[in-house]
Amino acid sequence: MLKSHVLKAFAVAALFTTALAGPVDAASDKSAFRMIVGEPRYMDPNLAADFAIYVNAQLFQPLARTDKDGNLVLLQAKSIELAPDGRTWKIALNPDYKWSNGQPVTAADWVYSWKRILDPKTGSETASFLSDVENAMDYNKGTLTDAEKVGIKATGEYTFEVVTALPAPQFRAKLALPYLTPVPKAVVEEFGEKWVAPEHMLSNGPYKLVSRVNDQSIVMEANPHYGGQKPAIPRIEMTIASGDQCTAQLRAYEADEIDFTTCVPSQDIARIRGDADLGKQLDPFALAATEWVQFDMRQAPWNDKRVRHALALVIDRQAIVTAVSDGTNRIATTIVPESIPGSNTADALKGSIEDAKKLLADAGFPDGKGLPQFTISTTSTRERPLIAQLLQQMWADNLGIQANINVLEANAFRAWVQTRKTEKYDIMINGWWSDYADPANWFGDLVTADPRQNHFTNEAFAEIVKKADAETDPAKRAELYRQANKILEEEQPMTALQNPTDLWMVKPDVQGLAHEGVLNMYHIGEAAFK
Amino acid sequence: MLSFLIKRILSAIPTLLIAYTLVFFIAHATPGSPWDSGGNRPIEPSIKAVLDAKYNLDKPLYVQYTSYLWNALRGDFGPSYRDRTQSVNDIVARFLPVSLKLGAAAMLLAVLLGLPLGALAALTRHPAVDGLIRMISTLGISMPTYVVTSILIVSLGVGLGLVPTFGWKGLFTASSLVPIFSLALAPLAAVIRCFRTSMLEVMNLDFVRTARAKGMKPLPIIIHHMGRNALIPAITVAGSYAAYVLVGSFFVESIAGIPGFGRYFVLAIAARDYPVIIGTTLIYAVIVVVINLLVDLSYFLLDPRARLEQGR
Repeated sequence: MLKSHVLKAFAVAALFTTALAGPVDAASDKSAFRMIVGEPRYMDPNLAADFAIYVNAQLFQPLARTDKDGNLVLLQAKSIELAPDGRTWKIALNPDYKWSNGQPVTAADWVYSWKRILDPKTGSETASFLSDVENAMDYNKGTLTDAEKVGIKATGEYTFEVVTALPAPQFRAKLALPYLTPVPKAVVEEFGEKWVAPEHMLSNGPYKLVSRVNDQSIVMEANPHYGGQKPAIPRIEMTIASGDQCTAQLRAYEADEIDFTTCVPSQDIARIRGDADLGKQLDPFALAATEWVQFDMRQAPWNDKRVRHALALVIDRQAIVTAVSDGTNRIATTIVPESIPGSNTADALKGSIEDAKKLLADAGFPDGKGLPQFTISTTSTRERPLIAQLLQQMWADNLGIQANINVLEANAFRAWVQTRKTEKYDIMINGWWSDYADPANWFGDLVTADPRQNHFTNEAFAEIVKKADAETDPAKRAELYRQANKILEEEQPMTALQNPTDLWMVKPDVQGLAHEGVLNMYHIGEAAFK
Repeated sequence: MLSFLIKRILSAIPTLLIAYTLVFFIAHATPGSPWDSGGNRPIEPSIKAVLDAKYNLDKPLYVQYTSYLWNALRGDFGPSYRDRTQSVNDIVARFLPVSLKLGAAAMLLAVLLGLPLGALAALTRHPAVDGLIRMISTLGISMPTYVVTSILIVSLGVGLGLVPTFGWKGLFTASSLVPIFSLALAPLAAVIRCFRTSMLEVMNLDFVRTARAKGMKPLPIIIHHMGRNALIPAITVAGSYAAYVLVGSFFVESIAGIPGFGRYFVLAIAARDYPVIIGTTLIYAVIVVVINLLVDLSYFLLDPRARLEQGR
């Protein structure tokens, strides 16, 4: 009797729960391309510097793209010409390209946008991409307040000019950067930071923003006024993930909720590759990027080349690549990736473990004795803590030296790296992803500008890079960079470990989704459902 | 009762002030700045200075401390640094309701299932039923929510295709099943255990035996005499869980893709979004204080002795 009452109550509660849950959603139709992305920090193309550029690239389009051989493929530009002075880039726009409300994209929009990037009040990370432009950095740093003096000027309704401070051959590749798009001047001036709201935003690319719910969803639809090839897929539905996006993407992909993933969690790579169906949907792309271990070149014993060489020679790169990516990343023996002009894998450091032991003994640390205990610092993301553990083990086993590991949360690590400008450290793991396919992005932006605080100073190297930066003959330029590469590898301020590989997965009914450029952009507007 | 209420509300003021002070200084002492969380390239120091000035981060810490407090008291919790188009008020208005809805549904589920199951476990003579219920409650207490959520998504979503693996479509859709159940499991287990124990305690007390001797039917005895008395500890436990379930769990919301308050709070910490960290912590603190107050008030309704003591 009593039991039956209790059971009744239980049944009612269970029924209530089921009713609360409601029906399962029906799968959406195939008119929309579905994917999961991280929350874009900025939808404003003048501010977007992280993975938000991949979302923005569906909405905003730059002047051109670079093909595999470094040639410009024009999009929004009708022509791009370099004047005989080697500094003045004359850009004519294609008037067919319009904003998503049908109004023309004018030279005024482009000039306004690029100057807005440089405006210190904007506070944009992307300002460094315009650093070659005359007076750009003075204006950006606030030492020059007159924006008119910056070398970006409209010369007509659909023509504008960019003047670089020095002849800058690498600026050709930068003109195709996805960071350098126009913004609708009138709309930005009217609505300020809120111009990116769906009700205000105008875009010049294949899609327009239809709705955005922060941390929840982004919906885009084909821009009816787009001047290029009209998208075959009329709608994009993005769901926003935070934290471990790769896991969320893979689960949703396997449940057929999305059409495309941009990464696979490292622990799932072997399973996916081994699966007959999923393995075929895997679409790897070798990135022009390198992850390495670097030394504080100002500190003993790391300023001793023999110590750096000894540590570098005992690293088993295959073991690292296998552990972190099931062998899908590639072994990197030199810092500058093979696809970048000026790189040369023949410059890679060579030697045996015996050689390494001898070098360490020559430096005053026989069998590792006397070498003070040191610390390997790393960010907590990208499997880097695992790489640190492997290095720690390899150095202990082969050289008898002891390292501690210091793992820092991503943001704290970035801040820590910046304070290494003045403070000392031992060893850190770091990486660089090509922004544009030009050696200046490596030898100049990475090594000379030293944002990673490696403190590598070598006069011969600096001289060659300076010469190469201003050399307009591509063959001579590449040869100069090859000389610089030789010095870089011989000095070994950084020891290359691996070149990461992006692992996309694309559903079999999607075709034409191509990897574009060194940043591995995707353009849904160029894909179609079978 | 009124004097009790006033006393409790007044004592909440120093609690909130301490919470504000702690979170303010801990947030600012954490290494890294709001401008470090972008992409690959370090930002120019001069640009950082401009941004610092724009958001008053160049002022001495005590000035920031008092000005934020003053604005917060007037209901303005400041801008978000992570998303410059939003204010903290916008964020709370958008994300808190999602967590509140899910949390309320989870608490309802926990109480509606937990009380009958707890009673059943106490009253049944069948060892298998009692054992099963105790197993559920042990699992619920010992399994972390991120494990529960992951297991549910992989089994029900990826494996059986019954629920979406990710995202939020509203409370009355399949997308809320996994988060509600994940959130409900721990409070459910606690309510079961607590209610089972206290039901066992009151089962043989004199007033229950008297009621039985009077010939009352079993269900009214369970509900009016046993249940009502056994409810107080269960409500205390449920109340302490409610505070944490209602504001949203970072793990559940991140794994299941729920745009809720718990997830946003942790993202704000990662981004060093000071106003959001401080604003959300304060709101969290207010919710905890209010729920504790409600739990205490519920004693008055349930327990005549509490009313008596207060009356003296």
